[in-house]
Amino acid sequence: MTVRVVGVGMTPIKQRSLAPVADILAADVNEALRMALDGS
Amino acid sequence: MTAHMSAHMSAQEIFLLDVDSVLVRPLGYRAALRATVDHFRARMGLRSDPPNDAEIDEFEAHGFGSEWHSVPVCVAGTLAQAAEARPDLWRGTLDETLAAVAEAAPDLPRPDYAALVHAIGADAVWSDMLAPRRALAYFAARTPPHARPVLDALLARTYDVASPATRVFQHHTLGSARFPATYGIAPEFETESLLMAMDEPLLAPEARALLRAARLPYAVYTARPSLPPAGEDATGFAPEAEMACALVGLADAPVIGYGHVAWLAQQHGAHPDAYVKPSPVQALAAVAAALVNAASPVALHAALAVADAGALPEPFAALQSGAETVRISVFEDTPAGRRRSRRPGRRCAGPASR
Repeated sequence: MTVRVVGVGMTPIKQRSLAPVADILAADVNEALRMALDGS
Repeated sequence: MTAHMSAHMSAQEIFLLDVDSVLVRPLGYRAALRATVDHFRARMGLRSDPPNDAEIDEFEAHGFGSEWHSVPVCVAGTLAQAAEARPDLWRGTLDETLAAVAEAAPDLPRPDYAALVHAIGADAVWSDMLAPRRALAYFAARTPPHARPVLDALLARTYDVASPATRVFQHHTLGSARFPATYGIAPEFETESLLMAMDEPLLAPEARALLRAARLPYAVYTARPSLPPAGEDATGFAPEAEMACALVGLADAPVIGYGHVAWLAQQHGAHPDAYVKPSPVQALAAVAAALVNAASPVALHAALAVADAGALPEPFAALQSGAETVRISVFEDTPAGRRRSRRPGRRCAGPASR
């Protein structure tokens, strides 16, 4: 079992905090879902 | 084995979606905070002057992450300001004190909310349980002894919906129509739900359609207050997670919110905070809820069995045997482990749960 962190960072500050831990980093949930589904 | 699982025998994908700043932009809580502060200011005969965003940030940075705690601090601070030169304005009850201030009609400058929270001196690392205690001690040390009943009414039991500021705040978050169903008591005034009116949906219909078309198990999991599992006594459980799901068209999604883990904690004599994220119990419960497509007691008990006893009950056993690989995608706006529950325990407060 693996866990993939899909970071939803709507601000530059949130994106910076998520960058070290996120396997996918998106600007909003819509982009995040598209990216996660494309890669699944 | 569920239909969800059999459709993906070799590679099982599961999505877990956070609520605040992922599915919705949470503007409703701050709006409810301001409305509640203004409610009490109006009863003091004062003009609208609630905390601004920067001041609310200061509260949150100093251990007052829950509006149930920051609102009474704002009210107590304004009362202390009004009664500084008139200690006789402190009366036996909060209602009498608010009326006495209104009658005295003092000319007060705008409260410096940021300075107030700095002076109280709570710290971000303090738990939400301790911050209101600190505030109570702060005000008690700076007001006459006969002010204590009013300060106690505001600050001693902030987790209880019987507490005046908490009760007014819950009117504004839930709306007066939902209030009696949640707490079993009549609303005191009519108002809309500011969560429904002010929270902004972030999930677009196209992305929601993509999620549904993928036909993979998913669940919403959040530290927001929520209902307990279906069929359980829901008195005192505010459906704020479910309201957010409804706002983005996911009313049928399985949700594991604070109410679910609080219910589980009640069953096992534990404190809810031990099970809420970043505890693995809530995440495992969300995985189980996604697999069985319901936030059921079975899903919750299974999560605890995995986390506490290393057991592998259903639906986890079927997951292990039915898929070569399992990947859980967690949609979060905050790095795991750094999040503090926005308002631990508080929305589960209510007459029946106390």
